[in-house]
Amino acid sequence: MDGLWEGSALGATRTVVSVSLGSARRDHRVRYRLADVEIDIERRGFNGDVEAARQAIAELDGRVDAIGLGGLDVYLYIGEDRYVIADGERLLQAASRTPVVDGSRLKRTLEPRAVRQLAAHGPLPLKGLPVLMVSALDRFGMAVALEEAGCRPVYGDLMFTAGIPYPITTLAELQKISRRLAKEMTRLPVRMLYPTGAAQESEPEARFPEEYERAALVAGDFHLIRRYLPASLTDKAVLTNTTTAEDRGDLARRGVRWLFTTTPLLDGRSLGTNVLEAAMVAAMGRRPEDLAAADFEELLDRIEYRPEVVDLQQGAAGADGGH
Amino acid sequence: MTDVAEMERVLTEFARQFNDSAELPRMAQGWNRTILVRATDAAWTRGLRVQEGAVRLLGAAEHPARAEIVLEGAADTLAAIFRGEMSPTEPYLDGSLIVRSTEADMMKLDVFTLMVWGE
Repeated sequence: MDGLWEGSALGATRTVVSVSLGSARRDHRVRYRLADVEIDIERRGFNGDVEAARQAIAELDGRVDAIGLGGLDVYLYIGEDRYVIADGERLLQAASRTPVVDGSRLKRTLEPRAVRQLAAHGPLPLKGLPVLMVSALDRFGMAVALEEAGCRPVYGDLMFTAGIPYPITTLAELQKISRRLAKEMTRLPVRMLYPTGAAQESEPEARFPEEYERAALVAGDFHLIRRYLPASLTDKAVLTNTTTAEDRGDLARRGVRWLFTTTPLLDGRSLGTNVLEAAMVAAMGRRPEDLAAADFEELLDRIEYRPEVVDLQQGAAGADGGH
Repeated sequence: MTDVAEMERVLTEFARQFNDSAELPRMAQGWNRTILVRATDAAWTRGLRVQEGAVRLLGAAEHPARAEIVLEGAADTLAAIFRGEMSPTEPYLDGSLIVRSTEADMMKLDVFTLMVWGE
């Protein structure tokens, strides 16, 4: 072992709980071996109830190695700007001893890396590919990486979050709009910004189907993608993170060919980024505020990270389906 | 306290800024709504009509009995919001601005108001 693992003990099992504002129907437990550390992971959904989630975090504080915060982002990193979602910050503050992470730090490292690997080794050429990112403000790093790979993006933040028929087509415009909106919008209740609880389970209602139709790759947060899915997505690809076997079945029925997930598939589901970040923090035994992008890069190197690639029409992992 | 003449000037300038924006007329396409702005500490109500991406101040005689969006608050608060001196989020969250509308309309109006006045 090297210095990366300052607080971890070889052979010790770590415990991570993901407290999510999402549906309790997606709750599960899984054991994950991250390099040399065994990690018990539990996901608990609170159906959009922010206060119940806050209480759960307070009760877990000091009793587990790391807590993931799912179903919302706390921090949005847009270029050099950082915005804090008020509801999320209140949840972070419910714990004082156990690290609580929302996945946003890891996302900045993991997602660009996933895109670069897909560009180099994935089944689709990304250069010139029309992409719909249903929201980019929560995954700015992915947006930058997709542009660098030569994709032709549409950012759907205004369309899918606010119902405003205004496709954003450049990162510069995305940043300009975010500077006007993000500081205030992040103060709104999270349920107004993002599907939580029952909204994650309701039947999709197609919104701006022409944008899904135009795209060859649909990218972004899975709950937001799913909420507005059109009936048919024949031969398209989806790049996201949190999916279950049921989600994959749904995408396959709609004709999606490729599913790329930025997080590992475990027991038939891909982890939330918050869960993976919490697992990494637990494995490294360090406070998240002490971790730099290089620490995550080093750990990703160590586990030979690759995005998952699944051919949904074959029902089997593709050649590059790794971690 | 902001009187009705001053509020009309504020709303007229808001409409001008909106209509002159490079983005907002496109963003508001298809969002046809009447917005009533009602002062709770003064005896005035004024209205805006958003129609096919353009905003105009309604004359007093044009005010409908019911509107899709009604904003209620102190006259100075309403004027500050439409002048861009105050975000609508803050008084909404502390209860000093009442928004009677669907949540979807409220979100759009919030976006448009923030977009009008820039960073």
